[in-house]
Amino acid sequence: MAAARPGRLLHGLALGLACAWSAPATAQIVSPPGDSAAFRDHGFLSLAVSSHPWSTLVAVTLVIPRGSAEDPDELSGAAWLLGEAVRSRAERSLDVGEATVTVEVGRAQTVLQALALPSAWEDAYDALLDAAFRDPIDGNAVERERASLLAVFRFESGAPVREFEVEFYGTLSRRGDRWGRDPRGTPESVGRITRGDLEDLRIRVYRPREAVVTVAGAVGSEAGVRVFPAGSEAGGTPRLGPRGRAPMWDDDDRRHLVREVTNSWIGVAFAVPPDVPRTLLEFIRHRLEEELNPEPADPDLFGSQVRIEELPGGTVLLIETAVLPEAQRRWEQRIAGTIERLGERHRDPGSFRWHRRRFRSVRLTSDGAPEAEGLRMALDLLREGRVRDLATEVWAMQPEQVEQAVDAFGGPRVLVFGPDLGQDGR
Amino acid sequence: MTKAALLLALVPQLAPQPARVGGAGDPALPLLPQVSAGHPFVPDTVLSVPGGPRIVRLDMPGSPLIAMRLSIPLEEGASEAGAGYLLQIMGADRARALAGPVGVQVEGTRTPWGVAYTIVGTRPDFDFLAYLLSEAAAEPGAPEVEFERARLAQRAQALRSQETAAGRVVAALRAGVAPSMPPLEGTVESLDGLTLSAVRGVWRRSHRAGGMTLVIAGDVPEELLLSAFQRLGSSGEAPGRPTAPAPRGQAGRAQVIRHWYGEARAVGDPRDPHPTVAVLLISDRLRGAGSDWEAQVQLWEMEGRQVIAIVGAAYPGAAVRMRGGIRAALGETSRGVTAERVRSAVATVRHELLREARTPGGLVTVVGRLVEATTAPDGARRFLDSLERVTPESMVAFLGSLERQTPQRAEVRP
Repeated sequence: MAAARPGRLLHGLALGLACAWSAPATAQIVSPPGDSAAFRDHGFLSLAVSSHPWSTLVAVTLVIPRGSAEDPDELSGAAWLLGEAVRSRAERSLDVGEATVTVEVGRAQTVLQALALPSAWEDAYDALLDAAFRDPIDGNAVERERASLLAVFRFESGAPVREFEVEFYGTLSRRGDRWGRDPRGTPESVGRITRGDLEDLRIRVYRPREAVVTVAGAVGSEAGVRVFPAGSEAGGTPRLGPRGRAPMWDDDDRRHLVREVTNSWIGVAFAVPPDVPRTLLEFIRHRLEEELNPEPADPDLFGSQVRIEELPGGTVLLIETAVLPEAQRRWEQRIAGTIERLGERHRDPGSFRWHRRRFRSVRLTSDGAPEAEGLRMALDLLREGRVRDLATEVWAMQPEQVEQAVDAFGGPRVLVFGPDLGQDGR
Repeated sequence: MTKAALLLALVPQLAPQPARVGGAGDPALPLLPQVSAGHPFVPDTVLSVPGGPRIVRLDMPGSPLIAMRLSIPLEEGASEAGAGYLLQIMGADRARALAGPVGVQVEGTRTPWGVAYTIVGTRPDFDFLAYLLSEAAAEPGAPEVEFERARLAQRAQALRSQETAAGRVVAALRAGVAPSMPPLEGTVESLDGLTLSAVRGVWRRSHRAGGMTLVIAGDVPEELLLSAFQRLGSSGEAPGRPTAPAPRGQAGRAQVIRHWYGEARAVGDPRDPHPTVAVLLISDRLRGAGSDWEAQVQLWEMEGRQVIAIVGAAYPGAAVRMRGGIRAALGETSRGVTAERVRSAVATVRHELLREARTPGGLVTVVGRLVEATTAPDGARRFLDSLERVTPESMVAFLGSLERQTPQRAEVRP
């Protein structure tokens, strides 16, 4: 069994997972599909399939719950180069036009996705898994990506936004922690990385038993039935997500890094309690981003982005806002006030239902692309061991939950990056 | 046992049962369901509503999303150039203002055949989505100031295009291949002459429900669909199309430091996939051509035809090489045709088309655009089928026919 190709093993396993479903798309929840010990012995932690025969392509998603935080100290950027080498290998093993393969290397995870023709998704599936776990590392791809990265570093040299990002992530963990590093590394570290380093890293972090695979799109019966119904259990142990009972931190913190730049960045981080449901947290993220990007636009605002990230110790909500320096203090207060008032703004049931309806539309529309759905399913499995039924969970949200969740946030930890213009902003 | 064989041995179950882990080829194993034989581009039904739009349905059973594209054929007189463009801007803005609070996506576009509005939302909101489409296609009732804002913004865009050498070359080529077709976005002169009253006249003439086509992807009962679009567009008397010629203007001299040159050739059949494949082959050829000049290959869709344009730029020292490279591009591409290159280009075109159509909104856009171009409800599927019939021999023949044409040429010199 150990000698068999992981792709074919998993395919056999995947077929074993396709245990039961009922004809209508609103399938009942089925019992766990198998012996989870057998899962771990044969291959992956979890697999999910979402079938939409009306789609034109199939997204095969492989998520490895390890990222740049695993890079050895002097070799930051290794996970990045490794991801690109695997991506390139997978794509080159497929015929032109059969599939495109992308990679995204974050601090905590590596996401490889193939977007394939329906007739080629199985080849894409095998190509992805073989490239990730079996095939030799593509040295040419490593050199191409290294050269590309070094060119980008030269272009970005001195760019303040990069310093801001490193410092902001540094506030989320101990200073010097690997979490704070740029996933792409530095010009010095990237120049040092050898193919042997990448092989060592792959052996250490690319473990099939920790990974998750999903298949979404034009696979499945004409009834469009989900093979792996939403809400059912995968039979594995979540690898990401909260690992305690409390949010990662409780304290407030504020730092101002004074820099003579032409715009200011404000980073605000909140630690999220483990029992906040993910769909509710996504709603909070969506609402915050709407409130912090007002219409008509604030002329002092370049943009505000709100993200949810999984750290080794738990979940955080990150707000990054870029403004003119003279508006920095006003916007810092605005961000704090928006969070504080978010709960009370949703107390009115009518207003809450209105916002919930809009969130539902936006969320389901974004999930309409097979690669978006495939990634979401994979992260659900890693985090909770199940695939969410988004539509149902959105309708189930209640107004009081918003205030309860926000009140329980730990933090904020604030980083201001820009000139110090004093109290009056001049 | 091959995977294909495994997939064909489908055993759907209606009751939950535990899975068994085993080796591939175990006949006792329940299997992943067979890939559907139906194609997403093939309409499930086509409905014709008396006095109403033709409705092309793409069923998506169980999908929580609905996407709809309403296509409205539209012709402008030369003096009205830009009216359709302004109509879709105002229509999309109107629908977007209503849609935003509900999280519905709205897009408007001016195509060579008319205007089109695409809306994506959730199934429970179907009635509202239908209302949004009706609003988008409604007579512009905006205050004069809003019309003026849109008109002046479009005029500024036309001026910006005139300022650039690339814009000048493209405009000249376009006027050469289609002298009777004014640019869809309008010109500075035509936009200067447009009034809200004139744009409303274009609306009354064109927005006839019986000429519209609605492509819908979703899970909507037929009776609901038929009742949702009973009042669309104009019903009154339609004014005639004005015959005044296009207003002329005198563009200033463009300030350029590089030499710009372009060639354009028209082909007659909008359903022919050869131009799309040819653009990729020619682009590949030009990429390896000169390091001291650059060129771009464009494919324009126009009513009743497609146009392949090659536009290049070079500093004066390389201008002769650039012009020569563009003039020789078709012949060199034709001589370099191989089975592998054609196969690769066809595969890329196919993948890109399917990629665009992978979401509900993308699906109705791709299907709708090919319905507009071909008038056939299954135009998208026919295009994919005809793509499979592109061969090295047919590509050489196509490129040869292009090469034998005398192209339209345009130049802007420093």
